Formats: sequence, C-alpha cells, structure tokens
Amino acid sequence: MSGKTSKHHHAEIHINLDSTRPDLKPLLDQLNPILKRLLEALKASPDTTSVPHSRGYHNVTRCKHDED
Amino acid sequence: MTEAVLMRDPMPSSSFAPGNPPLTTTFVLKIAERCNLNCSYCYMYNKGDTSFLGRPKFMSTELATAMLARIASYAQRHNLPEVTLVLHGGEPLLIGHRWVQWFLDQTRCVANSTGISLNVGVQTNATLLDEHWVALFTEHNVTIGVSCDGPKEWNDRDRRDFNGRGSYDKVRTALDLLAATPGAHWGVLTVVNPETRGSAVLKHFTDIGVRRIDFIWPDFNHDHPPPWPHGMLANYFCELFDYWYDELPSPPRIRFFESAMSLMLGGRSECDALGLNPVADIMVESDGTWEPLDTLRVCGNGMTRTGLDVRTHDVEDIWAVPLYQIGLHNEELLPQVCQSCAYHRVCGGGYLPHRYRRDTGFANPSIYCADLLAVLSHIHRRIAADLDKIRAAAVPA
Repeated sequence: MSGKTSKHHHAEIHINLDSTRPDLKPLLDQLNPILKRLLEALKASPDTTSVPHSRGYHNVTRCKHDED
Repeated sequence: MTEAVLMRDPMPSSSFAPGNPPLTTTFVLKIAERCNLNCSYCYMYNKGDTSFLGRPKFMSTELATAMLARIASYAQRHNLPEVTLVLHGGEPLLIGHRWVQWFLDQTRCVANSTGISLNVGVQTNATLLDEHWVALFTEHNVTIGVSCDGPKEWNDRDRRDFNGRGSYDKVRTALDLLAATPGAHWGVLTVVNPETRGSAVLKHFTDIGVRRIDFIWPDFNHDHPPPWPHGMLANYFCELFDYWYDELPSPPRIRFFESAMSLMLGGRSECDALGLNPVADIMVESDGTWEPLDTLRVCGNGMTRTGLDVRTHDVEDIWAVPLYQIGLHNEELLPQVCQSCAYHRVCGGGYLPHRYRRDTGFANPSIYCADLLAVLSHIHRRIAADLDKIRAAAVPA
C-alpha cells in the first residue's frame, strides 16, 4: 500500500494498495477485516467502473463465484 | 400503463450509442404469479398493482421454451458469455418440483448447445423448501435466496399466510436445512422494519449460519411515504453497521453495506439500490411478457406492463419502452439537489421506485434521502477514520 489517499466528490476515498511496502503489512493486518477484504478485492479487480453494468436484481444469490 | 405520468420526466438525451444501451445479463422469471404468503409490504400484491389478476398462475413450458430461446439468441447476438436467470414470483416453488426439474434440464440443454453459461438462482419464501428442493438446487448449482425478516416475533409481524399464521417456523426449518447442506449456495433477504433492531436481526441470522444477507429498504415513495419519522431507518442502519463492522468475529457479507463501501473506495455496486448505474434487468411475467423492474409496480397500477410477448418479440424490443428507458437513464433524471450532493455517486438517488412522485415522475431524490445521507455519512466516517490511521503511518519515505 502506498498509503496515498485522495478524496473525490467528498464521499469517495481512493487508496492505492502497494504490496511492495512490507513496512505496511503490520498496519494492514490491524485493519478492520471487512475493510481489508474489500480493499483486497478492489485491488484484484480495480477497473470495475469503466463498463456500464446492471445494478443487479435485489436478491442475494448473484455472487456465487464470490464465496467467502 | 401510466404513460402521461412517465412522460413528465424529460426524456433523457442518450448517453449511450444509439441502439446500444447497457446490456442486461439478468432476467427475473415470474414462473409463479401467486403466493402462499400474504406479506403486508409485498410489492407484487399489496401495493396497489392488480395486473397479476390478468396473468396465469404459472408460466407454461411452451412459454418458458420460447423465452429461453429468445434469451439465448439475445446473448449470442451480443456475445454475452454468461446470463443469470432468477426463478421468482409470487412464490416460485408453488409451480412444483417437476416443472423446475424440467426447466433446469432445459437450461442445461440450451447452455450446452449455445456455449452460453446460464446461471440460475431462485428467490423463495422457503415455506416449501425441503430436502428434495435443496437436493435439486444443489445438484444444478442453483443459488437460493430466502426471504426472512429475522426472529419469529419480528418475521411474523408481516410475513404471514392468508389465515394470518406466521411463516417463521417453516422458514427456520428451511434455513437450518440449508445451513446443514454442504455445497448449497444461499443467502437471506430481509425487509427492514425500523421498529426492530438491526443488530438483533443480524445476530439471529449469524447464529443460524447465514453467510450472505441483504437488508432491503421498504418500498415507499413520495406518493406513499413511509409511516416512520425521518431518522428511524438511519438509526436502524447505523446501529446495524456498527454491530456488523465491529462486533462479529466472522462477519457475513451484507451487500448494501459492502456496495456502499466499495463505491466510496472507487469500486462498483452489487445492488440496485446504490450507485450511478442503469437499471437494466428484465422481467418475464407468467404470461410471457418482457417487463422492466418489477418493483416499479408500486408506483402505479399496471405501470410495468408492456405487451411485449416472448413468442413474438426479441429481448431488445424492451429498449424502446418508456419506463425501461427511464431505468436506463435514471442518472440523467436526478434533480440538481442530487447532482450537487457529496454522496451523489454513492447513493445514485437511491432505489428507483423510491424516487417516484405522481407529478414529477422519477426526477426526485429518494423518499429516504435524509436517511440515506445519514447512513452513508456514518459509513464514510467509519472507514475514513480507519484508513486515516494507515495514511498517517504510511507517508512515503
């Protein structure tokens, strides 16, 4: 994680993960596990906003490929 | 269809290439248009829409065959490798095991012959969900969404049968069965009642073993506002968020919260109640008509009717339907107060049916605007505080 954050439209927080910073690993390990998992998921597929997509129907069954 | 009301929305200038709107990959199939429950808040039957009375109770195999062929050809025309089909209702299991077995065999045949991956899900009240159903769904990799509102005393307030009997006991049996079934893909949908406590609802579900939950904002709009004062839902969601975020050793996935956090962090929404995205999903009614988002029927009796039959119309024909166009262009209809809001990209105006007002159509903030803003601000404060700790410690050398 570079630790570099910036704010867009006030409500958006951008933070870039950089796994080459081993000094940050202890900090990441202390991060809230829900937040940490989301950041890792975003790092794995960061470009998720460029293609218009359906919001998805409001059931909870869509993400079967996204198991815990 | 209340065409005159819809047309009061300024028809948006298209931000998509002509004839090339965002392509849905989700189809919600109303295979049974009756239910064995009579939930007080049901958008299908108890929010003023009576169009179901003119449709068959169940989708015929002839219609389902035609529908699958249309969806497959649509996917092929647009090079979509994967499509999701959600068995829905009413209560879809009322159609019977044999019909669903036939349908799953058909989808497998269509998938094999076209090379398109057809993922199937089902949204059920689970009162009929037994070992046979779970075995069938697990064998076919069908994902199962169960509707349940929490502990018995809270679930049975609204989720009752036509004789007034609560549904909890049967649903609980089904949830325990699912929790004990290896390989089952399942989760729970709960409609929020802010007179209850979110943390208690969540604890109830995690004690059962639920790993995926979504909490749904009740379907009200500017014509039919919610019965609770502003702030009650915000308090519910903030208390729920803090419990989920802070207290649970192994927190389940909660789609609404994760979508909000993801949007704040530059990602995408996985639920249709948040984010600036087109509402593009397509319904298929039991009479074989293509329709826009089904919850929009809370905005007016018959509003979602199109007359576009799967036997005579391609999927793309719905693109020209005014209400479907509004879903696609809903971002452009947001009023200035939304466009200038700090949370505009996260909130997206909230859930489309909650924006409706008879005289102004969908060009309004959500009826839950104040509560949404309070919840999203709360989430933002919480994660920003956590990330600030890292930022402070991680200034590049």
